[in-house]
Amino acid sequence: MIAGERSFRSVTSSEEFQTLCEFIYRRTGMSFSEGRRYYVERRIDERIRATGANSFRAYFTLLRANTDGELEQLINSLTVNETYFYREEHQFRCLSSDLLPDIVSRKPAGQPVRIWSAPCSTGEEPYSIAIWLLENWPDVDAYDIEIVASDIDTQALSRARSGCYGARSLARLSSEIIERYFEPAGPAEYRINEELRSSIYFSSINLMDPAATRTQGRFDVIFCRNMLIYFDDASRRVAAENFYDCLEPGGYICLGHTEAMSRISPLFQVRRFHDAIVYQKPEEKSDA
Amino acid sequence: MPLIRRDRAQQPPTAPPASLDSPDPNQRWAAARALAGDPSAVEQLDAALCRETDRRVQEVILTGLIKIGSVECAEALAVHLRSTDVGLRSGAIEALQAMPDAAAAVLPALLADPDRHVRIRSVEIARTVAPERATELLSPILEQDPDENVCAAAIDVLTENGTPEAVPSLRACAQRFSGVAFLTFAANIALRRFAEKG
Amino acid sequence: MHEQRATAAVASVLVIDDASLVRLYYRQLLEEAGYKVDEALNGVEAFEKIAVQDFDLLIVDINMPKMDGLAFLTALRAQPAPAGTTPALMTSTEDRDRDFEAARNAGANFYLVKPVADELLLRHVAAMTGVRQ
Repeated sequence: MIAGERSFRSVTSSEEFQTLCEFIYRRTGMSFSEGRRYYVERRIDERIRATGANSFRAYFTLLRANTDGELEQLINSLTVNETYFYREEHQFRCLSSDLLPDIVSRKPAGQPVRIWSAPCSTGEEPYSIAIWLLENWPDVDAYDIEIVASDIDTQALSRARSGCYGARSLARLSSEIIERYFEPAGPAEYRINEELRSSIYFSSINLMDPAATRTQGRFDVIFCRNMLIYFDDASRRVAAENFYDCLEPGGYICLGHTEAMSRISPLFQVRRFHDAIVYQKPEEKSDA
Repeated sequence: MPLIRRDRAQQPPTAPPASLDSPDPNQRWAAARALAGDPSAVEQLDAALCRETDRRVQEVILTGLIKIGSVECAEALAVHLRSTDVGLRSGAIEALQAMPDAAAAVLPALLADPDRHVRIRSVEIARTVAPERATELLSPILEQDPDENVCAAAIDVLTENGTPEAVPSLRACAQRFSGVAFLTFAANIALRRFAEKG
Repeated sequence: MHEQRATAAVASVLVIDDASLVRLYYRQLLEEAGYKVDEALNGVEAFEKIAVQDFDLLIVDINMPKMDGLAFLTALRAQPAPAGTTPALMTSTEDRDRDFEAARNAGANFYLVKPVADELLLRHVAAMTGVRQ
C-alpha cells in the first residue's frame, strides 16, 4: 500500500481474482501477471463501487452478462487508454533492431518498406514510428518507407492529420527530438512539422471490413495495439484474418503488451526477439 | 527524407473469382473469405471444410460459418464432432462456441450421444451459452453420465460458466466418482467457487 | 548440451491444457513434488511461453481450441533444439489406437489416457525430466 492512501481492503480472494483473470483472458485476451494483482484489484474495486454491486460475486454476475456494457468499462479501466509518443517503445526498438533488418534482407530492390498503424487513433503511434526510425534505424536512408495510418474514427484522424499535441503526450520525447520534429503551436502545445505530417498517409478504414482493408495493400509490419481486446471472439478472428491478408509473407504484426495471439488466432507464428514478442505470417504458404 | 506517401487508396488487382476447389491454398483462402457470412453458402463452405487439409484455410472457412451463425451451420458443424481429424473437430467446437444461440439447438442431442467422446466434446460448447442454460444442460450430466471424463469436462465448464443452482448436482457427481481423485478435486473447487460469500 | 540432472530437483514443466481445473490439478501435484510449473491453455500460448524460456517437459492435451496438441507438437518438432527436442507427454481422453499413433507421429514421447492417476503421472514426469537427449 502506498503511504497516505486510504486503506484498501482487497475485495477479492485469491480464487476470485483467478476466476476473474481467467474470464478476462478468455473474453478479451488480456492477461495480467500475479505482480499486477494490486493494479487489477484497485480497478475492480472501483468498478464494483461504480456499478453499485454489493459483492464480488454480484459484480461478476453483472460482468458476465455484460450489463450496461460493463465489460467495455472494465477493459477501459484496465488498459492505459491514454495514448502518447513512444508508447511501448520496446516494440519500436524491436522494429529497428530486428524486424526491419530481417524484412529488408528479403525485399526485392526498389520496393518500399510499408508499415501500418491500425488503429492509429489521434496519430501518436504512426508519428512515433516515423520519428523512431528516423532517429534509430541505421538504414533509414537506404529505403523508401511508407507509413499508413488508419482508423474508423474520422475525428481522431482529423486530429492526427493536424498533428497537434500537448506536453503530456510528448513526455517521453527528448527535447532534441521535440525540437527536430515539432513546432510550438500555442501555450503547451506542439505541432508536428509540415514535412513529417505530410509524409504519413491517413485513411479512414473499418478494420473489420475485408473489402476496406484490402484497399490498403500489403504491409511488412502492422501495429495493432489495444484494439482487439474490445472485440468478441468472432470479430477478433475476422480482424486477424484481415491483417493476415494484409501482410506480406514473412511480415510481422505487433499487439499491445497485455495482448496475445493465443486468444485470437492460430494463423501467425510466435517470434521472440530481444525487445518484444511479435507474430509473423509464414514466409511461404504451408500446409501445417 | 526516406518517408514516402502514396495518396491513392491502393486498388487490389482484379483477379478472377477464387475457387474453393483450387489446388492453391491461397485461392481456397480467398474463396472462403469471399463467402463468409453468406447464408446460402453453408453447404458449400461445409463441403470445403470436410476436404480441407490446410489448417489456415480451415480456420477461415470456420470463420465464414461463424459469421453466418445459423442453426444450419450449427447442425453442419455438429457432425464434425465425430471426426477423426483433431483440428477439424476442435475447430468445430470452437466455432459452435462462437455461435451460442445456434449451438443451443444442437446441444441437447449432442449431450445425449451414445459416444462418450462426442459427449466430452459437446460439453465444451456449453462454455459460451448463458450460465443458467449451462447449468440446466449440464446438471443432468453430473447426475447421470457414466463417464468420468464427460463429468470432469462438465465440472470445468460449470466452474467457469455455471450458477449456484448446479451445486446439488456437483455434490452428487463428487459422490458418484469419489474414487477418482481428479473428479473430487474438481468438484470441490467448483463447490468452493459457488459457496463464496455473495 | 544438457547434463544428467537430479530428478524432481528444479525441472520445469509446461502444462498445456484448455481445462483450467486440469492445469490446476497438475500444477498442485507437480509443485508439491518439487517441479516448477507453468501453464498454457492452447498450442499458441504454449509457443508464447516457450519463446521466453526452455522447459524440461511438456504435458500436452490433444483437444484444445486455436491450436490442438497434435498441431502444436508437429510444429514444435520442426524447430531446432532445445525447444524442438523438448520431451512431451501427451495426455488425453482419447483412447483409441489411432490416437496413440497420431500422437507418436506428431512427436510425443509418451501418452497417458485421462484421468491420469497421480502416481503414474509423477513416475512419467520423473523419468522424462531425468535425462535430456
